[in-house]
Amino acid sequence: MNGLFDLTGKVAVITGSSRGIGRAIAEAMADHGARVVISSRKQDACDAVAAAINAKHRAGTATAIAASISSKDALQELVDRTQSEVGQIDVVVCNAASNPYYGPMSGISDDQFRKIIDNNVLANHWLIQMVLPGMIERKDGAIIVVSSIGGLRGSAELGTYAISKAADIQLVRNLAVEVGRHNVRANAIAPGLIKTDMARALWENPANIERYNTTHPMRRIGEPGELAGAAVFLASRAGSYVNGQTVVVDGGSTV
Amino acid sequence: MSVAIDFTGKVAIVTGAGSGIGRATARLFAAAGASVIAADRADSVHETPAGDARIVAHQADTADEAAVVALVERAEREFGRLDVFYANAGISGTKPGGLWDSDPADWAEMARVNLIGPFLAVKHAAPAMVRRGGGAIVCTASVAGLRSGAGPASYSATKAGVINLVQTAAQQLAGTRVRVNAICPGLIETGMTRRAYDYAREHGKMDRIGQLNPLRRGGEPEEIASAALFLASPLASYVNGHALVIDGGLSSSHPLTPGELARTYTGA
Repeated sequence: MNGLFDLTGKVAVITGSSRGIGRAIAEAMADHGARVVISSRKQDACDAVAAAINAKHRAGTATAIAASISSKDALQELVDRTQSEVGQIDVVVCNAASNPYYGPMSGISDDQFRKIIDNNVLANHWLIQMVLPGMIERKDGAIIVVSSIGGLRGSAELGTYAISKAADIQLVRNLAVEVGRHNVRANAIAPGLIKTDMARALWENPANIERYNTTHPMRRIGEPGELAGAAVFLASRAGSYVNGQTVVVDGGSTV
Repeated sequence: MSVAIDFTGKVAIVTGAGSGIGRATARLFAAAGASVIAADRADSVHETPAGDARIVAHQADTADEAAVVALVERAEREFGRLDVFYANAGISGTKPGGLWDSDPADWAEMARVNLIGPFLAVKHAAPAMVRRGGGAIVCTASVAGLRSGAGPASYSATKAGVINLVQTAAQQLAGTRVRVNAICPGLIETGMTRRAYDYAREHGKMDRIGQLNPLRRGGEPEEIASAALFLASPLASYVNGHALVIDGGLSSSHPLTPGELARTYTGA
């Protein structure tokens, strides 16, 4: 039965995995038997997470390969080194993202706008383009993009970020249609408010956290580990007929 | 996080367990260690996978309030608790034709089984779960509830209703530690779709099954059961009020020919 959620023998590359949701996904995938590649901008941060996972499991479970998602060359090196040092990539989790701007869209600079779209959409497209040929050849693969409930609703302060996350939802929908016939599945996860460094401004705001604790259906924000289950489900045999979907993990805040 | 999905010591009710998705899910929950009450109507209850050590069969009309109360009471009385209610029983109707060929009696029966059934499950399972600190309710909706063309009008409307039911229930059960979610299966080989599959087999057209689907195939009941297990498990501890679509990508794409989707489903 638990073979349904087993990832033994799989190699998963997770971007933005030295912290928060990405780290939780990497840890959970390793818990379920996968070999994982930890990647974010700083090598030492990746090394620390990989070392912790290897200490819990066994050496070689996690490999640290730093890469900035804003560099196409760095992403290609991430893919090439994964393939030569770890193995063929079965699962890719595009989790790293940026949000350099809070406020109305009238105030965002073109550079900030482009940065958000580049890092949150184009970089995902790059990485997926790089791993797809191998997945199509093997007729097996799982692509997971971490979007956000920001991509499902309008936002007074996170407009461009929300646009980029809506684009991620369409990215997997489109990939599902394009590559589903090769048994490559593409899905997104849309987290609600999760206790991560990236969302610190939201959950350290007393009014905001008070609203969650009194009106949210689960009366709380989420923990990074609570996103990881959906990623394991989507990557594993348990999710073998899920394709083009966005799994909302928000405790019910968008109902 | 615990690695294994372990329902040892947990109690699950699965309705519509005499066929297809319900039967596969009852088996899966039992395999994961749960005690399972497998419910179905008088004419199907003998098809539930009772006989498996952890599964008991239970005859019930899941749209009858007294029967649902009795079902929940049995879980609490016989097994001491209720952790999971999978409200899966449903009908799709057998009358061919369009909206204008159906009548209020068809709609009333469809609403009774497909919508009032899940409503009663939420109404009576949630308090039992609250009594012991939480639980998970999962309802079977359908991709037919997301848009047109994937089933009869009355069926589709009731399945759309199920999606809203889980949203509203999640909101109204705020703070209770009871999560409520729906699954929207696409084309799955079950008793409900047997006509389409039989037709395809008889006419050498199995390659047409799922041809509009990005994965180019129909789904298996076990591929829905695994989602029910996921949604009921700690892996989904922050998933609430969500309609999880499991359709191979069907609803993500534009059907190639308008109306073709419906013909694929009905085999007409």
